[in-house]
Amino acid sequence: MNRSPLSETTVQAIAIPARRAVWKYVGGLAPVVILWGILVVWLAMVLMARANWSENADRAAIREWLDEARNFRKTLPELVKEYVRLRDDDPSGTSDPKRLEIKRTEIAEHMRSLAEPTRAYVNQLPLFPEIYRIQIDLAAANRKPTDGDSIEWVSTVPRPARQKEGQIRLLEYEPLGKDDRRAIIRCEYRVHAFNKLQQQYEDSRRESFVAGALLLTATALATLFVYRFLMRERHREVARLTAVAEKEHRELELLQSLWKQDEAEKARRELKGKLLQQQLETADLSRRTAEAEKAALEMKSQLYASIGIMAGSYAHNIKNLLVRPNDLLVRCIDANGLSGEQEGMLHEVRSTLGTVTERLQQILRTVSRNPGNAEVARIDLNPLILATVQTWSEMAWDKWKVRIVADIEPGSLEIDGDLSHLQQTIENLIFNARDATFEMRNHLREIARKENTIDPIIRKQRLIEAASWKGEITLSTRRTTENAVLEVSDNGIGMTEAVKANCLRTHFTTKRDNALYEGYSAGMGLGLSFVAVVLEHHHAMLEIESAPLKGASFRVEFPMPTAK
Amino acid sequence: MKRLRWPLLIAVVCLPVALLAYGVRVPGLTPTLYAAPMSIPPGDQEIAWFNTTTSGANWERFVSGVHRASLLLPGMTIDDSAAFLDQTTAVPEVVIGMEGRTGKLRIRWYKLSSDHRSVFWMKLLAQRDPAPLAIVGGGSSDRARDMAWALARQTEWNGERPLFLITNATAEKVHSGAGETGNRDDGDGDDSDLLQIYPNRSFRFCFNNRQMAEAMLDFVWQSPNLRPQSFAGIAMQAVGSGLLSTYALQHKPNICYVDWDDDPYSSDLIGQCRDALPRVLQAYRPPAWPPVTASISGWQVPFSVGGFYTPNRAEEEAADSMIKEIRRLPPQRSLLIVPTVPSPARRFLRVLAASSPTIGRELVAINGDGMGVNTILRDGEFAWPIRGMPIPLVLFTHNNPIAWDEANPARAIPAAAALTPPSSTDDVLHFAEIVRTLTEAAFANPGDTLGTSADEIASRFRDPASGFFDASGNRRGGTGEYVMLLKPLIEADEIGIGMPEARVEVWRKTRGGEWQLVRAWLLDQTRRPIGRANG
Repeated sequence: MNRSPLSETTVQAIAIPARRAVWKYVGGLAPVVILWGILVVWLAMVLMARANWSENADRAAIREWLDEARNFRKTLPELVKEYVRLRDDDPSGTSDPKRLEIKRTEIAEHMRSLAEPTRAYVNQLPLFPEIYRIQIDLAAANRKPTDGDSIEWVSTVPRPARQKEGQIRLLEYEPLGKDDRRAIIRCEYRVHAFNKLQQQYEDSRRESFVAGALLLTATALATLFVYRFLMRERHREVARLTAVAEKEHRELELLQSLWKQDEAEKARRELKGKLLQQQLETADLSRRTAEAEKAALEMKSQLYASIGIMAGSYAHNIKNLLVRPNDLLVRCIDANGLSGEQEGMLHEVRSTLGTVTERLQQILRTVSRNPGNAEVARIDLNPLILATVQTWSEMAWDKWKVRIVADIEPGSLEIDGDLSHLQQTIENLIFNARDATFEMRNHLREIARKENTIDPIIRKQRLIEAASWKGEITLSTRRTTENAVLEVSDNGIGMTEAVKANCLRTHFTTKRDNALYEGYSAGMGLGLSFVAVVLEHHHAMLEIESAPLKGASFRVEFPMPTAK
Repeated sequence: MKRLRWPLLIAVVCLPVALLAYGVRVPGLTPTLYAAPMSIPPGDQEIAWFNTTTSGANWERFVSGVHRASLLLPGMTIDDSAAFLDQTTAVPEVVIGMEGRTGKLRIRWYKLSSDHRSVFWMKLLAQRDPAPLAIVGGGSSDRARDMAWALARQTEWNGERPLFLITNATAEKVHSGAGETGNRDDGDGDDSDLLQIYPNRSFRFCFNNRQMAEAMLDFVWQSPNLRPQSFAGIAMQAVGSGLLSTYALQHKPNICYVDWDDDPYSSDLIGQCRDALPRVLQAYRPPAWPPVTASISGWQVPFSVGGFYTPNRAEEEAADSMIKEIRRLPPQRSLLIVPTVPSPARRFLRVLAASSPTIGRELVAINGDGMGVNTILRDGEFAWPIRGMPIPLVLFTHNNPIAWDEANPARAIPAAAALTPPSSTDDVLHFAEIVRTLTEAAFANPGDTLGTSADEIASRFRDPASGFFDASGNRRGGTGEYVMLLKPLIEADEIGIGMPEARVEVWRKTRGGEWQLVRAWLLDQTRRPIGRANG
């Protein structure tokens, strides 16, 4: 069903004016119809008069003849008036009955004299009149019709009974005036013998009737046509109005939709604006945060520098302080009396103190110089790697759950560089790999935690497996034709391309405010940037291969030292 | 305003229709009134010619009389373009002017019908401004009486009261009944002088009954072949017997008359004849004879209505009675006075002739001007068949009835004014005399316009220098009277059956009182020229 989109109210709003439009049409057409009706009536009267003209003309001729014919001096109406006046003057007729009788006789004689020529000259007079009766009906003097009398002349010629009664016409009128019924003249007559004009008018009458019938038919058809035309126009108008209303309605809906879209767009733009504003604010906040962090880092760097200075100072003091114990320890060893175990223990203490002193000296060297101030020397890379692995492997395994493995190419692998910086660089790379394994383990744990399984045992098993996952850091060296290659690889979380592209920037970090590194002095964004600066000063090339969850590999190619 | 456009249009269209349906007269839409006085252009004057609706032939003769008058009045112009209209209900007019004068005299025919009688027209004309100068009418005495009464009763006019110019009403006395028509049948009343009903403003252009009676009786008595006398006396006179005077003293001329009560002309003419008869008898009495008196017998007929040939009952009874009366008398020639119009006279004389084939030897009828000579000269073959009515008849005319222009072919006469037989000429000449007299009086004042009044015209009419009217308004008599004698020829055997021929004589009275024969000819109704229906 094709349902109109217009509401019932709208349809009624259209339909009601449409019904009013019918009356509006009627009102508008009424003047024309009235004028047309007057015209039709007038035309009908003209046609009727024209159709009856011949009969009317005959009637008028007979009336004129009766009214104006004077046998002596007076016409028939005048004689009748005189007779009526005489009767009115003497209603009883007793004063002079003879006079009234004489006037009555005079009237009868007048009528006879009128009709006599039509008999005497029958078939000779114009119009061929045949008068059958002239009668004057007179109301009584007391105005009672029952007491009235009549004066008449009746032809002795028999009436043409075989002819149609309509051919004998009756003229009747009041000679004393219109609606004065005191006297009535009646004349029965027949005129014409072979009137061609009468035949023509009979034809004309027939034509008039046909014309009238055609006119009425045409009128009816015209009325029907007009009615149907109006109804069709009305329906068309209603349909058109409906279509217009529907169109307007659709346009209205479209406009409303567009308006809503505009509103939504406006809201979206406002939201976007707000979002942009928030982003701007966020960016501004980030900028401010970065600035604040930078300032904090600078402050922290200064703090660290101060701490370094203090640490150097403390290390120098400790070193100086260790001189006396070391001397004392030497004396103790040199002293006799010590058991072998004691002597071994003292040697171990002396070795440890030596290491502590060396470390302190390294600390002093580290904190008293920046990366740009390198003290280049020929360094064998392999021992350095081995020493570093030895230093951190035990702690790595115990605390970091990371295995540090050294894959050293046999032989020496010398390069020119600052030992302290290189040592620090290797440690930074190890620390970075350590952190990656932390994130990998944490990632595995999260996966196990989020795994959609109902079985708590399996879930626990997954968590245990994730927790027991071991990281692995491999430090390997090899030689190429021109370079000495150091590669630090891990099986950690890996890096995205974005992280990989920015990981060497100063203060770039993925670990800041990460609880995972709490207690590991990580997240400053200085480790890899320090590495980059150091390698840059050593003219080394750093290549990073990494992918998310695929671990990372930092390959450093040092130029081979030139022969001296 | 736009919303009111259609309603206003409907109102404009429907209002006249509604008014017409309600009977309100709307100019331009209401049918023309059958009777409405026409307006008069400034500077013109109107003469109202009153006559019945069936007087078309009479109006034609009147218009001819107007043209005839123009032959008598140099400078007189005539516009008869509206004299004969297509619409018989319209008012025809003929306009008379004078060269060099802008004012016109408009003679209009106001038609009297059964609905529009004299009183009706008088009232309408009295309401119009200006009033007509004169009312011309009175073709018969009863109609003149009606018009006089109507004029007398209509006292309020827009201007001076019009004159009443009588054309052919000859009665001196008319019966002033209580009714509008004054007919005796309409009520009681007295006999009044016709010219005194509307006094001082009535003028009669015809001779009156007294003048006619004197003229006809004089004409009859001066002719031995017409004079009433016994046949014995005639024989004695023929042989010169001495017994004639003795016989004459014993014999009284027999005078018979028929009085139609509804015609004032009839009774008045009879009365005038009775008054004039002693004078005539005295005038023609031989010097040695003693005074002679006449035997007068009369019959009353209540009305004049009847058939063309068939008399009404009273006429037939009167004729039968008269025949019996005549048969009782010694053989003689009697005088029959039939003062009426053609139809009653024809009916009555036919009854007499039918009763006695030799009646033509026993009667001489006088009629006056009631019949008109056209009844015999023009319409005689059916209106007055001589063989059927072989009775000598004397008619009176107010002018020469045979003044046809063919008698004077050298005179150039316009066709409109031409007088040709067989119609008599007395009516046209009489109308011409009226128009001439009236036009002369109307245009008597010098100046560009007409500038005259009814009073001025009346004073000019009464001026003795004009010599046409006497002080009472009657036409002066003693000259200008014409009589026509119709004397049917009768077989000279004992039976005396009438023949279809008659001798017609027209006589004119001279200033000396003598009768002068104008013309005499034989009228033969059996010898009609082919192609001339009227013979």
